[in-house]
Amino acid sequence: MTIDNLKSPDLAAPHPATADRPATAGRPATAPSAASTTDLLRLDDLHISVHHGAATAVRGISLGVRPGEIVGLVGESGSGKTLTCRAALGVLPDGCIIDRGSITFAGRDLTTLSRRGWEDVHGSHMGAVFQDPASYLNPSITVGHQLAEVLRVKLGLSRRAARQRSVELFTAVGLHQPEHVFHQIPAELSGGMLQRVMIAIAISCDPELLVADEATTALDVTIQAEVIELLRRLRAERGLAVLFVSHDLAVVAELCDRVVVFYAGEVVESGPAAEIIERPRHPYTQALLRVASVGDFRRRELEVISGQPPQVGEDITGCRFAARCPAAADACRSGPIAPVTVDAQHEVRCVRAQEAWAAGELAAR
Amino acid sequence: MKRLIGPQSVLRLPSARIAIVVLLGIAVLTAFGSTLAPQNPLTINANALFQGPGAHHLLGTDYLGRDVLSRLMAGTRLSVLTALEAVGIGLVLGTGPGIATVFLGRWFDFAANRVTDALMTLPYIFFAVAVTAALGNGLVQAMVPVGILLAPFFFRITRAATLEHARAQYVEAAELMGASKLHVVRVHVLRKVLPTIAVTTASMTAAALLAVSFLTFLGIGVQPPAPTWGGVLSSDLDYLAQAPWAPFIPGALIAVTVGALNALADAFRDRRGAGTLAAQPGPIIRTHSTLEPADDDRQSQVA
Amino acid sequence: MTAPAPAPLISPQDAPLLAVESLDVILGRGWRATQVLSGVDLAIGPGEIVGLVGETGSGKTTLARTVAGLVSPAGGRVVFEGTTISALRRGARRAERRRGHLQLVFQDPLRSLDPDMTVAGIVGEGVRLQGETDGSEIRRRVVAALGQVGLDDSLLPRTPAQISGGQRQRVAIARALATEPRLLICDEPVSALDASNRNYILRLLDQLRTSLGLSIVIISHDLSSLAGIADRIVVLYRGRIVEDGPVDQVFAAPRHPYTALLMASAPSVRHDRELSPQQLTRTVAEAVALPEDLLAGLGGPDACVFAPRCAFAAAPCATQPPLVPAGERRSVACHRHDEWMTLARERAAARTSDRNGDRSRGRTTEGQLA
Repeated sequence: MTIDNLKSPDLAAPHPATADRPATAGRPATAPSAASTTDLLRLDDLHISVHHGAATAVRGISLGVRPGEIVGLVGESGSGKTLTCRAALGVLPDGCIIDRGSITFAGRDLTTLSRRGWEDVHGSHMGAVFQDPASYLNPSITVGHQLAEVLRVKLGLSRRAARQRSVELFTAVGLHQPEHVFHQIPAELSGGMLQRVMIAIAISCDPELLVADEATTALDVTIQAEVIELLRRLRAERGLAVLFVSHDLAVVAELCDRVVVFYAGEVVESGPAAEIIERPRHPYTQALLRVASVGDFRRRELEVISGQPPQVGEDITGCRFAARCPAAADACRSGPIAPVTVDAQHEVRCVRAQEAWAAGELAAR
Repeated sequence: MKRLIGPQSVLRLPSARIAIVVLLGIAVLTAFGSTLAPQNPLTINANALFQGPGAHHLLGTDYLGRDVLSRLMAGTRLSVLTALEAVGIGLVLGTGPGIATVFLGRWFDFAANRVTDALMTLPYIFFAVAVTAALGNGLVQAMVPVGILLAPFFFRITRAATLEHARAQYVEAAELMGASKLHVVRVHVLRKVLPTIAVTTASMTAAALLAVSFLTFLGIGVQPPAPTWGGVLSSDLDYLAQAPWAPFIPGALIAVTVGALNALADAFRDRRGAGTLAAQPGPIIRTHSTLEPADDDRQSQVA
Repeated sequence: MTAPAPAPLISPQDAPLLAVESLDVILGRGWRATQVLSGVDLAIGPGEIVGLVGETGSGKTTLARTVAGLVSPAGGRVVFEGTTISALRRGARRAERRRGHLQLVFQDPLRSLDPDMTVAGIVGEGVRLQGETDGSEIRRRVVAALGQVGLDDSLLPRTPAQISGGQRQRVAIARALATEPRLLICDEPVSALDASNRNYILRLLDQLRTSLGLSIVIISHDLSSLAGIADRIVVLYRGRIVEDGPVDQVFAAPRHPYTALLMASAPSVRHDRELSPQQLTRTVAEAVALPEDLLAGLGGPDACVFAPRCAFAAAPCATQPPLVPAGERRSVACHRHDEWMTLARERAAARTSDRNGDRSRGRTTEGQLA
């Protein structure tokens, strides 16, 4: 159950699970900060407090989504990932306030957006799908009419045009016999089909960004694979950017270009998916990889992560993972730890990882 | 999520507190009304007919010069006790079958439901008249048919509450371990159905009290000159010209008591809270990475 | 519609602990009746961990409930420790249940534990039902059961609301262990838990098998977590067993296309799967290419349950294939079980060259799936 990697000096060695993969040639020079002016959605130093300011649940989150990029947010319940994506959508629960930081979408500041502004953004620029599609649909109206209603209201289409477009959208999301599905009520459709309907509604007005919050968690594994493939296809055909939130690292690794790892309200590691999987630098990411269903069908020792995450909003000096980290040192607990860029666009918030990387760099020269 | 159940939580509502005070007063009168009455409720005083509320007679006198306050106080016992008698009959006849019907199979349930339907169509006044005609004029006898006709309400409400809990997965789990139906009722279901029965009892007591008042108003079951609330009201209405204020007094007493009972029932029902843990809304998969007790309430807000 | 008797998977001298024989289960009445299980044969030996895999609609939960006796089969029987428990009723069934040798662990402890009872009461309920009246003996067995799942007696006075999710599921397992069972059936025991808790509980079940000699049936839709601890895998699709065999053999070389589909669909951090889900299912484009009568036959009521979705369905698949042996202690229900893999590889090679050509023209080749 220990995280052995951190004890060895060469933290830069490839992760054992992927040892048979050809190593990437060389290591590029330290890349500049990940903040890019071409970001579609940009969160900077976001702080969110809950219970009317009683606790700070999200601390200093910075991340960006570029056009056509699929970014995955991964972490446990209470890590702040859902709160972050709800803040980006403007649907924070009661009592949650953005204390500090900014959220920008295509240059527009979302933290000070009026209700009118949000009506414009929702649907036309940002769409969303959540975990339980059945609870987001009216059970007594056919799904076709629910989609057509969105089209008529947002795009001003006529009844006939809306119906036609609805069938086209159902086809685009891979529904079999879309004409027939148009006339079915949610109870007649399976979970996978309902989620496709939700995706159709979310992309109906051609948004640039789709936020998917645990969208595949409740689906059967074969349907989950189909929905993931659908999201890939939508990105390829429409240039749709996706912010994909999940607690399942395997799903995130499967689908996403970039991965952002959340722990206790902070981003502890972020970078290209392949890079994070191959060279996880933060002990928490390494632990997640060990417990995740890595597509390994051999009989093996099942790993666990001992201990528990801190209470939401708990005040901790230094690293928030230090209590559970076998490699924690005094330096980890002395003060706030800033994220440092290691490799290309790969950031880590970990003192020991930074040390190991620096040592590795030194040895390589 | 904190669940407020039980009597202590009910007291937080101001309406419930007022209701309890009122009902405590009525209870005292039921027990000690005759002895507490300032004057003899039966004493006729020809010199003091139709007096309004005053120093000597706090609520005035009736058409025979009898002190109204004393009559009402003395009459409380008979009215309340017979109302409780009816409720008691209804409770016994209704709740037992209401719980049992869920466990005794489809045919029993069908039969019980049809009997209930039949009883609910019958008017209690006629039955009260019939019973008193057969068994003699007395309030005790007259309330028996009222009790029998209250039973269907107890039956239906108890049945609905039991159904909800009898289908719970923990009941299935108990059955899989070899629990008999009696065990399931005793260990799992009864405790959860009692709050519903309590609420129903309060509501039905209010209904029974109204029935008592109406029966005595009609003169059924009344043995004059014994005072009853409805009887006082009835005689007041006969002499409306001489004392127009008079009917308000017993009417107010009936209304306040019935109102207090209903308020108590409402307060208790509202505070009962969810019957099961899983009644909370939220994401289907709620993952917690802890192996220690977590503060579930706060986690759900954030995740 | 009786299938021919399958070859025994366990050699004759090992009497199976649990034997399910030709089980047919129909749920619902009248026009709403659906056949949820058809001709299911299953044998569980002592000390075995069997992973039962299936998706929504596969009938796996119904199978668990039928074995436990909550549902009466329309055909076939369930034999446990030599007794045909599916034929027991009322008093005899209650007596059999009170023996406590067969226990069921449900998926969601929020629903399967009485919220008004303490942990002590919950775990002790089975013991009390066995007739034990001595309070100290009940407590001893409750504490022992809690100890087996790694919980101490500080939890005894708490109610389910006062403990964490992982602890709740462990309490549910402790309740099952308190009666000293021989067979534990766990219906999706870890689906509602995160990865770390999931692994903890699966490891716990493995340890219990070793220390107590328990047989365990774990029902799940997640292949990967089963792979860690199961001895045998049984794959269920639409009420029929389509594959059954030792776990390492099944995963190394699946004999049924659906098993391969499950493996291919499982999300993986390594993108190294040989076949993709799209290669194992039939797209609308491919369906249109098939002759009319074949398509009709594949959609008929007697066809193989997987035929409507299968990329390799051919003429023989219009009749339901029986479960036949395919190697030592393995069986599979597929007419083409020895040839579809080769076919898939050939097609994959052909598609790669096609896709390379398409890519240069900027097109994707994905079809529509139901």
